[in-house]
Amino acid sequence: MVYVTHVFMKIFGWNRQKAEKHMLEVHEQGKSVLVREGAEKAEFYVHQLQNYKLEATMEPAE
Amino acid sequence: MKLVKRVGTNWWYELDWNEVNLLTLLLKQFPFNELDPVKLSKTDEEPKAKEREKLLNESLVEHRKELEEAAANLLNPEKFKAQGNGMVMKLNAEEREMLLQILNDTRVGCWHTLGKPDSLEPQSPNLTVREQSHYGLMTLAGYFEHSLLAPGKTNS
Repeated sequence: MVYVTHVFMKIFGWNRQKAEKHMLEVHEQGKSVLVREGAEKAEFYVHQLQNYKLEATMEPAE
Repeated sequence: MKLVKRVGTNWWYELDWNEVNLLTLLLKQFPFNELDPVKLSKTDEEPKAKEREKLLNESLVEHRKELEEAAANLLNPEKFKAQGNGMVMKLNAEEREMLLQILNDTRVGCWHTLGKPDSLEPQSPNLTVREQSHYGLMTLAGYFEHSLLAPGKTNS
């Protein structure tokens, strides 16, 4: 879990508290909405997360 | 393995000989498995999304090659300096991130190969040697991953 927290802090520049909140959502619910961005930026983040071998996708906003 | 010093963007980790040998083993066997294609989106079925998904997978193949090069570079004897009952490994920020990615790639690769079990501990006494080896590698990669991120006592 410390790995996931580290990756969130690294990629999104979040503080530990915010990164751990999302890490716990992933741990307990199996997923977390990390950011709401335009398609290009969202795709960039998916690439970054996948480089760290974290399963990430981007979905159109409802 | 423990962090013994950090100055700026450089980290020094102390490993005993057993850890040196096991980390070397992990790096030598990288990549552990073939890359599985990933999805860019679970719901977007537009043709453009499929094209972007193809680019994502091509990018991940390229990144895997970079990790392979990084693994080879980390095996360079110059990265390690004998000290006490083991060695000290010096990593800069980029090398540390690459090593983390190599370790997690191995960990996830083992888990996939084992059929994505709910438990990370072996649950059956009837595992094959190959399955036991995968559980062992997965545990080992997790150990080094955790050690790399443990705060340690540093002077940064």
